[in-house]
Amino acid sequence: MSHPEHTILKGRAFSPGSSRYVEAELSTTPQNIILLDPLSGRILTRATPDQVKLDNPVGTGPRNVHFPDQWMFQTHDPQISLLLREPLSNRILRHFEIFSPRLALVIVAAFGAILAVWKWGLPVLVALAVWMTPDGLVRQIDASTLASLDHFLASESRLPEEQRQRQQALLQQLLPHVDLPGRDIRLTFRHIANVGPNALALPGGTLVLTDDLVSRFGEDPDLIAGVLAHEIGHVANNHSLKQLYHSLSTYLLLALLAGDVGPILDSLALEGQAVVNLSFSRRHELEADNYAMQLIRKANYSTEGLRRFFDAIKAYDGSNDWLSSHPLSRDRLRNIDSFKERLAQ
Amino acid sequence: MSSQENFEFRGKAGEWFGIWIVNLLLSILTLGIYSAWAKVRCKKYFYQNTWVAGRNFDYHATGKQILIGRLIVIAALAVYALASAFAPPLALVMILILFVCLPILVLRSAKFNARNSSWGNVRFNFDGETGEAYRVYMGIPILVALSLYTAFPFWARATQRFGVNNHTLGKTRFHFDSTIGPFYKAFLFAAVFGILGFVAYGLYVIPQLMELQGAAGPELQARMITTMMVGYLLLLVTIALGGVIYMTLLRNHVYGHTTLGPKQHGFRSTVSVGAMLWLALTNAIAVLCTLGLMLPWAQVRMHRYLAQNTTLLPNGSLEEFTGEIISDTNAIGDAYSDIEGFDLGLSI
Repeated sequence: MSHPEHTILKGRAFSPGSSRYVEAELSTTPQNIILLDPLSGRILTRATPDQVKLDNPVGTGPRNVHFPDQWMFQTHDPQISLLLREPLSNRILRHFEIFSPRLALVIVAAFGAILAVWKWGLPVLVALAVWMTPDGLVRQIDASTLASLDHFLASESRLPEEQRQRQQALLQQLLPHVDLPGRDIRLTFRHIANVGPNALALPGGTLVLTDDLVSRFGEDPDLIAGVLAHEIGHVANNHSLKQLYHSLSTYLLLALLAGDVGPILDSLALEGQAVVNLSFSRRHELEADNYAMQLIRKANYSTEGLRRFFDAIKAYDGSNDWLSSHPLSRDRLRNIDSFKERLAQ
Repeated sequence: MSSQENFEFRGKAGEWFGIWIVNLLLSILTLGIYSAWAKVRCKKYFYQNTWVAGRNFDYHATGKQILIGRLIVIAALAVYALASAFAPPLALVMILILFVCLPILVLRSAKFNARNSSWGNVRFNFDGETGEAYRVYMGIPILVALSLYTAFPFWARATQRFGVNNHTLGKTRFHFDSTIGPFYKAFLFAAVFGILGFVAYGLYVIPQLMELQGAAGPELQARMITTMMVGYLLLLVTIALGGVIYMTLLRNHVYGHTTLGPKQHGFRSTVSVGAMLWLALTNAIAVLCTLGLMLPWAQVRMHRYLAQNTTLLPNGSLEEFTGEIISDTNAIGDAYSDIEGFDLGLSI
C-alpha cells in the first residue's frame, strides 16, 4: 500500500463494550479504516470511512473513534481530526474555545448578548407569548382570579349603591377613549381588609376598587379617574400576562444556561430573580401612570387627581424602592411633572 | 491483589473557561436552544477528563436528544403556568399528575444518564424497576412526612440503596448497604448546623427589631429592612452550608460501603467537611465578585478536589467489565431534572 495519504496513528484499542484494551494502530486507505495490533500484526477490525464515527471531542482530551462493531480506538494524536474528516463546524467551534486573548472578545460579546436578550430578546419572546394567548382564556383568568379573591381575601362591597353608581358613570366617561379589542373593561367593588386604599386590574379588563379607596377619595372625580385610567393602563399593556411569561422565561433561561453553580449560589439565584422581577413590576407601574395621564387628558379630567392620590399614599412608602413592587410615590410624582413639561413644550 | 487507583481530574480552568464562555454566548444568541448542545459539551468535558485506572469516562447523549426532552418539559411547564393563572383547579390536577409521574421521571432520568455514560469502552446501565421507584420516591417520603421527618435518614438510605444497587458497569452490578446509624449522624450534624443558623438569625434580628419597635420614620424603616435582608441572606448561606455538611458526610459513607461486582472492588471517599465548606464558600464569593466569570474555575476546583479524594480499591483485574450498548434517546426525565433540579439524589 503506497498510497500518499497513508498515515498511521498510535493509540489504544478497546474491545467491543469492554474495559480491556491493547496498544493499537489506526491506518487508513481510501476504502478502509483499519485497526491493528502492532505486536501480533493482527487486524482487530476494519470498516469503510463512512461507517466509522469520530466522537465530538471537547477540549484537548483524548479522541475516541467508534467502529460499527463497537471497537473503540482512543488516541491523543490531533491528526485524527483531519484523517477522519471532522466536520468544519466542529473544528471552528473548538478553535474558538481555545483559551487565548481572543476569548476577551467572546466575553464582551457574551455580556453584550446577555444585555441584548434582557432588553430586546425577552420582551420579544414575552410579546409573542402574549399574542398567542387567546382572549377567551384571558377572560377566564379574570373570572377565576375574582372567584379565588372572593374566597380568600375579599368580601362584598359595603359601599352605598349610589356611590358605586357614580364611579361607574366615571368609568363610562373614560371608556370612549379606550380602544382595546378583546378586553372587556368593567368595574367592581370589594371590601378587602388591611390593604388600604387600593385598586387592581385583572388581565381581561376587570377593575377592582377597594371600599377604602372609594370612601376616602370618592368625592374627587379627578382622582378616581386617574386611578381607573392607571388600572386600564395595566390592561392595555397586558402587564399581568407579561409578568407571568417574563418570570417563567427568566426562570427557564437561568435553569438552562447556568447549569451547576454550586450549593450557595443555587439558593441565592432564586432570591436574585425575585428582586429582578420586582424591578420589572416597578417599570410597569410607571408605564401605567403614563398611559393614565394620556387617557385622563383625552377624557378632560385633570392629572392633578393622580398627583393628589400619590401624595395621599406617600405614608405607605418605604424608603428603599428596590425591594418594592411599586415605585416610590415621590418618583411617580416626578414622573407626572415631567409628563406635563413634555406636553408644555 | 490489594492496590489502589486514585481518581484524577485532568481538566484545566482555562480550557474549561473557553468552552464555557462559548457555550454561554451561543446559548444566549439562540435564546436557549443551543443550551442543549452546551450541556453535552459540559458533561463531555468533565467526564472525559475524569480518569481512574488508566481509563476515562465519557458521555454519549446528543444535543438533539436533550433539546427534544427540554422542549417537551418546557411546553408542559408553560401549560402549567397558564393553568395556574386561569384555572387553579386544573393546575392542582396537573400537580397531582406530576406527583404521580415523579418516580417515573426520576427513573427515566437515571436510565438515560447511565446508558449514555461510559468508562473505557463499557457503558453503565440503570435497571431500577418502576414499582421500586414508586416505593422509594413516593411511599417512603409519605411515611417520613408522617413521622414529622424524624425518619428522614431511612429515606436517605433507601434512595442510596435504590440508586447504587440498580447501577451496573456493563453487566457488573454495584452494591451498597449500610446500617442506619451513619445516616442519622449526617442528618443530625446538618440539622444542628441549621438550627444554629436559625438561632443566630434570631439573636441578630430580634434585638434590633425590639429597638426599632414603634418607630415609623423612613430611616428607621430602612434600617429594619436592611437588617432583615442581611439576616435572611446569612440564614440562606447557613442552610446551604448545612446541606454541604450533609452531602459530604453521606458521600464518604456511601463510597465506603459500595462495592462493584462479585470480586467486590471497593471505593473510598476522603472528602473533609472543613475543606468542602471552605471550597463552597470561597467559590461562591469568587463567582459573585467576578459577575460569574470565575464559575468555570470554581467548578474545576471543586471537581478536582472531589476526584483527588476518591479512590478505587481494585480486588483483581479491571479488564473483565463488559456489556452492550443500550441506546437510550428519551431525555424527558433528564430535562425535567435539569430544570427542576430533582434527581436520584445519589451522593456522588
